[in-house]
Amino acid sequence: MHGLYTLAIRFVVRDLMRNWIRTGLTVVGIALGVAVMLAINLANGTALSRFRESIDLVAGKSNLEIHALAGSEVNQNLLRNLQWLWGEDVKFTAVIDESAVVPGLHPEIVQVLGVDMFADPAFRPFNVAGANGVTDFGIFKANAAYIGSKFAERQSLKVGDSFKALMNDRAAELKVAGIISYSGPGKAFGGNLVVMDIGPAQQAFNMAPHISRVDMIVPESRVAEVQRRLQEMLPRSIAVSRPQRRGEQVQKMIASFQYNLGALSLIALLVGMFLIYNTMSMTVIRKRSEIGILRALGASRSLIFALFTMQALFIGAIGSLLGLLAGYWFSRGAVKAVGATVQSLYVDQPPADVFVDPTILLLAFLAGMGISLVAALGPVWEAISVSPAEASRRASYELRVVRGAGALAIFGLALLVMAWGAAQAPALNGFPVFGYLSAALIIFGVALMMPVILHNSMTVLKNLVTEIFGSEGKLAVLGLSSTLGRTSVTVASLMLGIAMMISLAIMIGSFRQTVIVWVNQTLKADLYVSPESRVASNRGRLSQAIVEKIAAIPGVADVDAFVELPIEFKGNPTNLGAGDVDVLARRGRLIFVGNEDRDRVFEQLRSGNACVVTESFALRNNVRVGDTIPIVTPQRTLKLQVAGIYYDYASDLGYIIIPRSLFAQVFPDYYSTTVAVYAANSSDTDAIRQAIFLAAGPESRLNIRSNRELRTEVLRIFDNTFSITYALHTIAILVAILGVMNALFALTYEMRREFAILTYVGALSSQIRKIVLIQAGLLGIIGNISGVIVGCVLSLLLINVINKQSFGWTVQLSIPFDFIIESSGLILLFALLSGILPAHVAVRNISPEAVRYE
Amino acid sequence: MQLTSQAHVRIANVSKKYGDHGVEALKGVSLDIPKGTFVALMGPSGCGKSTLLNCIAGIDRPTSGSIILDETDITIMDDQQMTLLRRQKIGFVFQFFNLLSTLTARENVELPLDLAGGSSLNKRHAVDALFKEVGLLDRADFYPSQLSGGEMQRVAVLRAIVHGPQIILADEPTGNLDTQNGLQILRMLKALSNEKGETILMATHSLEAAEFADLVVHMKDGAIVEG
Repeated sequence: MHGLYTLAIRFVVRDLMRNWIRTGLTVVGIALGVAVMLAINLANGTALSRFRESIDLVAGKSNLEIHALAGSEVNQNLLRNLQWLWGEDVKFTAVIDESAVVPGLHPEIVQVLGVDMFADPAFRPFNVAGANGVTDFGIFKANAAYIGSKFAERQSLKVGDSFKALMNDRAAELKVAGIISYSGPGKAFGGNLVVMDIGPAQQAFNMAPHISRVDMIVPESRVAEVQRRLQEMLPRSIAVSRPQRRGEQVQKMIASFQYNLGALSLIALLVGMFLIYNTMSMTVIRKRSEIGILRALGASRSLIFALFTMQALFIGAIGSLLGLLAGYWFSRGAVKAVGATVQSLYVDQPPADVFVDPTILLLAFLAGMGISLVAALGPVWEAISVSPAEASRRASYELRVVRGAGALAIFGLALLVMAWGAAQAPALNGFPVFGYLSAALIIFGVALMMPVILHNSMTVLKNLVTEIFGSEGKLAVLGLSSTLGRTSVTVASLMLGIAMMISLAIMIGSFRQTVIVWVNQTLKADLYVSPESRVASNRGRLSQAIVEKIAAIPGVADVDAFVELPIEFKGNPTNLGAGDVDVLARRGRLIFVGNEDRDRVFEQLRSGNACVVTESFALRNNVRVGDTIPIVTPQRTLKLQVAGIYYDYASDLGYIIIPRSLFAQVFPDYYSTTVAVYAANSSDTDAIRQAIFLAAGPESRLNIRSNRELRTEVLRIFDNTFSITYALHTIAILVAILGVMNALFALTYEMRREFAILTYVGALSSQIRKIVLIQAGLLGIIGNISGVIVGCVLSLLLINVINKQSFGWTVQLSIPFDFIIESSGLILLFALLSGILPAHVAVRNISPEAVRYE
Repeated sequence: MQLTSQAHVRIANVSKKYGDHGVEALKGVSLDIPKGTFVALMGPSGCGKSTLLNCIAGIDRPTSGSIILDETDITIMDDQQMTLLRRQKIGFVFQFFNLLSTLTARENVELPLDLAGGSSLNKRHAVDALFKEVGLLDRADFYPSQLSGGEMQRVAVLRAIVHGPQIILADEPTGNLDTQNGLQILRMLKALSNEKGETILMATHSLEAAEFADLVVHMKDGAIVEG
C-alpha cells in the first residue's frame, strides 16, 4: 500500500503538476460541466422546494384541508356544518389564501393570507413586531395588514405606511399594521407575505361569501376517518386532502420542463467527459514507454490500472470540487431564470434564495467523478492491455488505432442504427427517455466513426492544404494523420459541443418561428383585455358587467369573452377554457392538426356535446378526434366528444375548450379571464382602448394589450424561457474549445522530435508555429462540419421526438442558416486562437535532446 | 550449445516469429548459461540479441521452445507470474537508460523496491549505499535531465541491481555512451559478476565490451553461430 501511495505521488501527481496547463484545462472542463449540472439542478430543486416549503409553512400545524375543486368556491356557511368536529378533538379555521400584485417599478407578487386572528395562532404562530398581538385592534381595521420583513425591506415599508396591491380586478390600498419576522411561517414565499384579518381580506378580494379553504388540525391517527366522513357529507365540488397535495400538483405541472432542463444540463458534463477521455488517452500514449519500463521492472497490470485510475479520479475530484463552487455561484442566476420561466408558464414564484440541497451537491460531485472514471476506462484499459515489449514502440498505439478504425466504424454504424430504433419508441411515463438515449447513441456512434472520418478527411484535404499552405500545410496534415488515435477524440469532443449548439439553435429557432406563425395566424383580435392581477393569480377575473360595457363601446364589432381555469384530467393538470363559439367561428383561426372541417367542428361544438382540445393535451392524454372524454365539474361529469384537435402553444399542459353556454351550466359564476375585442376598424384601436378604461372605471385594474403588444409579449416570454438553454450550449462550446487547446498541447509535445529535426534542417520558428495553427484550423474545420451535420440530425430528434413527447407540440423545422454560418466562423476562429499558445510552446520547447532517440 | 546440469539459464530451441508472414527474429536458439557467468551476445543489428533478452525477461513470448530459469520453465508462466519474476529475479539495463523523467535518480533506483513494497527506511539505506558505491550520492536527488549520459546509465544499472536479482539482462548498455563512461559501466557489470556472483547476459556489437565477458556467443540472422 505504501508502495502504491509512493508511486501515485511520483507517477501521478507529479506528472499532473508538470503538465499543469493541460491538467488545468481538463480540470476546468470538468468543473464547468459539474457547475452547469449543479446550477440547473439547484435551480430546479429550489423552484419546487421553496414552493413546497412555503406550503408547509403556511399550512403550519394543519394536516388536512377542505378546498374547492377548480371552478368552484368554498362558501363560508360550510363552517356551520363542521361544528361536530369540535367533539372529535379537531380544530378548524377558515383561510383566505390568494396572490396579489404590488405594482411599481419592479412589481412583486405577494401571498395574501386572510385568517381568523384569534384562532389562527394555533395553526401558524406569526411573530409580528410593531403589534401587540391581536389586542392591537389595528389589524381589524379595513385594509390593515401585517407584512413579511423581506417584503418590507425591499419596498422600504414600516408600520403605518401604505402600499397598493392589485387583488383580482381591484386595486386596494393596504396599511402596514406590523412586520412579520423572517422565521417560522414568516419565511413562507421568501417573506413575501401579507396577513390580514379574514373579513377585510374577503372584502379586498371581493370574495364574500367565499373563502379559499378550511384548515384543520386532526389527531394524526384519525385523519383518514375524518377525511372520509367529511367527503361523504360535503358536496362533490368540495374536496378534503392533505396540504401537501398542492405541492404535488405543482410538481406534476412543471415536471416536463424540469426534466428536459435537467437533461440539457448534462450537455456540458458530456463534453467534459470527452475532454477527460482525451486527456487520459494522451497521457497513456505519452507515458507508453514509461508503462513499458514499469512493466519491465515488475509492475503488474493491476498496479498500472490503479495508477491511471487514480489519475483520472484525482482530476475528477479537483474538477468536481471546483465545479461545486462555481455551480453554486451560477445557481443564483439559474434560480432567477428558472423561476421566471416557471412564473410565466406555470405558477407563482416569489423570490427565492438558492436552496442548497446536500443531496444535489453530492450527486453533482459524484457525477463529475463518475464521468472522469468512465471516460478514463478506455485509455486505462489500453494502458494495461499492452505488453511491455509493444509499449516501447512509439508508433504501436497509432498502428492499433489505424487497424481498428474499420471495426470501430462498423460498431459506430451499429449504434446509429440502434439510435434510429430508439427514436421510434414512445415516451416512458410522459418522459422522452428513448429520445435522449437515441441522442446519446448518435453522439457515440459518430465519435466511434471519427478515426475513419478523420483519415478520409485528411486524404481529401491533403492536396488542397498543401496547395494553399505549401510544405507547412503538408506537414500539418501528415502530423494529424499519424496521430489519428488522439486527434479523433479531440475532433469528437468539438463535434459534440458544436452539434449540441446547432441542434439547440435549430430547435429553438424552429420553435420560435412556429410560435410566430401561430401567433400571427391565430391571434386576430385587435385588443386583449385581462385583469392586471392575472399575472399573479388565476383568480383574476373580469365581471360580466365589464364585458357588456366593452361590447357596447362604439366601434367594437365583436367581443369574445374567454374564461379559463386549471383542472385535472385523469389526475393530470390541464386547463379548461370556454369562449363564444360563434365569435370563434367568425373570427378565430384555429389551425387543426388533422385538417378537420371547420364548419363541422363548430357545428358539433354548438350542439353542446363536444369540445376541441389542443395538440399537447391530445398527445399527453392519448386522445384522438372522435374520442369521448370525461370532464369532472362541480355540478356533474361532462362526457364530451372531441370534435377537433388544434395547434396551440400557450401552455404545454394543454386546453380543453367548450362553448361558453355549456361552461355556464356547470360553473354558475359568470366571469371572464380574457376578453378579445375585434374592432370594426383597426385604426380605431387606440380610441377603443381608452374607451374601455373609461367604461371599466378607476376601480378596475385592467391590462389591455393590442395585437402587436401581445405578440411581442408572447415572444418575450418565449425568449426568457430559453435564455438558460442559450447559456448551456455556450458553456458546452467553451468546454469543447478547451478540448481543442488541450489536444494541441499534447500534439505539439508528441511532435517535438519532428519539430526539432525541422529546425535542424532549416525551418523557421514562424513555420513551426504555422504548422500548429494549420493543425488547429483543420481540427476546427472537421469538427465544425461534422458538428453541423450531427447537429442537424439531433435537431430533428429534438423537434420530432423529445419536444413532442415532453410537451406535445408540433414544431415546423426552420434552419437558421445565418446563425450556423456565423457560429461556424466563430468556432473556427476560436479553434485557431486556441492554437496560439501551443504553437508558442512548441517553438520554445525545441531541444537537441528530442532528436537523440532513434 | 550442450545442456549442463549446472545451468542457471537454459534456453532450449527457442524461436520467435512476428506475424503470420513476419520476420523470424529467433531460429531455434539453444544456450546454457552457468550461474555467475558474464555472457556477451554479439552480432550485428537485427540478429536477434534484443529479442532473445526480451524473451528471457518475459517481456516477449517465444513462438516455440523453452527457457528454464532456476528449474522453472518461464515460457509457460502467465503474465502475472512473469511480472513477479521480473520484479524478484531479473534486472534490466537498457541502451537508452529508460529512466522515468519525472522521478529523481534516487526514486528511479527505488522503483523496484517500491513495487516489491519494502519499508522506506531499509530502502533508503540500501539505495544510499549503492549510490555511494558508484560515486553518485551527491547526484541522487537530481532528475535524469540534469545528469550526464554516463551518470544516467550508472543509475540505470543501480536500478537493475537494487532488488538483488539473480540475473541481469543488459541490452547494449554502452551503446549510447562515450568510451570512458562505457568502460565504467562494463567494469560495474564485471564487478557484479565476479564479486556478487550475478549472472549477466549482455547484448552488444562492441568487441571492446565483449572482452569483459567470460563467454562470448555470436549470433547472426536469429541463430547462434559460435560461442
